[in-house]
Amino acid sequence: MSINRRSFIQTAAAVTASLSAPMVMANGGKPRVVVVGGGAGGATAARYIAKDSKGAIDVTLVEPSRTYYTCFFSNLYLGGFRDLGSIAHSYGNLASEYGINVVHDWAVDIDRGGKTVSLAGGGTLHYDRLVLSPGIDFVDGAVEGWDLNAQNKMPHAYKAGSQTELLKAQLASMPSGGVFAMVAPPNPYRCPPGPYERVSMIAHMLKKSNPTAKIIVADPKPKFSKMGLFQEGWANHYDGMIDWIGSEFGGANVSVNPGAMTVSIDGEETKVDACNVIPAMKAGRICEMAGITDGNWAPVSAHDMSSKVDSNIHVLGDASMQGDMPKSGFSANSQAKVAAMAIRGALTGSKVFPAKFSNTCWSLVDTNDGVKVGATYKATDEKIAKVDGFISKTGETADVRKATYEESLGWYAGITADMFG
Amino acid sequence: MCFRSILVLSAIFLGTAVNADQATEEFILPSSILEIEGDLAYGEYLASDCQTCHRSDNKNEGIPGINGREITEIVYALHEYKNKYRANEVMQMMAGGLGDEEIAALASYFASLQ
Repeated sequence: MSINRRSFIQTAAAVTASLSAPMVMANGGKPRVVVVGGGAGGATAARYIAKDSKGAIDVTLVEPSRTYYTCFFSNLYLGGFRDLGSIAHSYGNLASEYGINVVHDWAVDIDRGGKTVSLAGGGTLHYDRLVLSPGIDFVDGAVEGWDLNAQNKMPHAYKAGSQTELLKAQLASMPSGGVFAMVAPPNPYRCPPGPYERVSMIAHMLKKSNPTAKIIVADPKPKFSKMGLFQEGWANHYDGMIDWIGSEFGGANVSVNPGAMTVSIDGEETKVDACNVIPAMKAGRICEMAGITDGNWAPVSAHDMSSKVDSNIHVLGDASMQGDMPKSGFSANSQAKVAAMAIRGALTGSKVFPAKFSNTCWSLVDTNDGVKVGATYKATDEKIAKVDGFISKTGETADVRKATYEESLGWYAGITADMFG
Repeated sequence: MCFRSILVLSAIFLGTAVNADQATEEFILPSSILEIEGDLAYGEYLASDCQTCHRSDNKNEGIPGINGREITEIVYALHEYKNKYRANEVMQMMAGGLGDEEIAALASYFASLQ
C-alpha cells in the first residue's frame, strides 16, 4: 500500500510539473509577483516565493507600515505580559536576505485586465500573479453611534499598534471602581478567541491596578470560541468582575455615544470609563476595489487560494472566504505556503503537491494559564474542509496550562521568524 | 531496542512526556515503514507547515529545533505522536494527518537540514 501511495504522489507531481511549463514573459524578464499586505499571509507568501524560487521570480511586497505590529499577542501587551517592542517587526530581512522589493505604500487600485497595481504614491506595479493579503476593514454603520471618527474615544484596537497603545492608556486612566465595556463583533471576524483573550488580559491588568473595576461585554453572539475555557478562567481568576451579555440577553442590541461615553445595551444606558468597540468586519478594501468580493469577503479555491473571480489573484488570510478555517494569523501563514507553492508551480514549473492546511490558536487567560484550539484541513473542490481538531479541556492541571502558555511563546517566535525571516 | 532508549532520552530532551501508562510497552515500527525512502521535495513542502513553530534556523524558544536529527528518530517521533503514544495535542493532531509516505518525506527533509 505504501508503495502505491508513493507511486501516486510521484506520478501526480510529475503530471502537475509537466502541465505547468515555465511561463515565458512577454517582456522577456522574470515572472513578477506582487504581494499586497505584509502580515501573516503576505509576508509569509513573499518570503516563501522568493526563498524557494531562488531568484527566478521577482517579488514585490506592498505594505504601508515600516514597523508591523502583530495583532496576535497584542492582547498580551494589554495585559502587561509583553512590551510593544516585542510585537514589532520590520521588513529589513525580507529585503536584504531574500531580495524582496519592499514598497512602503498603499495599493489603491487594481487593473485586472492590464495586471497592474496602482499605489497611493503614484507608482504602478505590473504583475503576473497578484497576492492580496490585506487583512480586515470594518463594516460601516455596524455599531450604531460608532465610526472611524470615534476611534480615538472608543478604540477598536483590532489592527495592532497605536490603537492598542491608546486602549491600554485609557484602561490605565480609569478611575477606581470604573467601568470598561467591550462591544464584541459578529461572526465571522479576525481571531475568534481574540475578544475574550482581551477581556481576560484587561481583567488581569485591572485586578492588579483597579480591583473594584467592572467589565461589561456586549456580544451579538449566543456563544463564542473557547467559551467554556474562558468562562472557567474568568470564574477562577476574576470572579464577579466580568459581565458577559450574549445575544439571548440583548447583547446584539447595542449603540454607543462616544461623546458622552455611554453604551446602551438592550435599551439600558451605562456610563463607561473606557470602551473597546470591535465592529463587524469585511475583507480589506482593496479586495472590493479589485472586484473580487462576494458580500464582505473574497471567495477562493481551496486548492491554491486563487480568487474564484480571477485565477491570477490569490487571496490569503482574513480577507478570504475559504471554508472552515478560522481567520487567524496561523491560518493566513498556512494558506500562504499553499499559495506560494501554486504560484511557483505556475510561473516556474516547480512541483505542486496537494494542499494541506493547519491552524492552532493559543489564548492566555491569566499568568501561566494558556489554552489552545487547533485543527488540520484539506482542500476540496467546495472549500477548505476541516479534517481533525482538538481543544484544551476545562479542569486541566496548572502544569498543562503553563506548558500551553510556554508553547505559545515558542509559536510566536516561530511564526514571526517564518514571516519576516 | 536501542531505539527505545534513544527515544525516551530524546523525548525528555524535547520536553515531551512519554505516555506514562504505556511507557513500559515497546513502540516498535515495522521495517516496512522504517525502510520507506522519503521524497525530499515533498518533505520540503510538508515541512513548511512544521516550520511555523519549529524554526528553520533551528533556534529553540519554547519549541525545539528539529533540523539535522536522525531520520529514524523523526519517523519514530511522528508515529508515536500519531498513535498518541507521546503527549502533546498539537503534535498528535499534526502527525495524525500524515501518512507513512509523508512522515518518511518529512524525516528525510529535516534530517537533511543543518
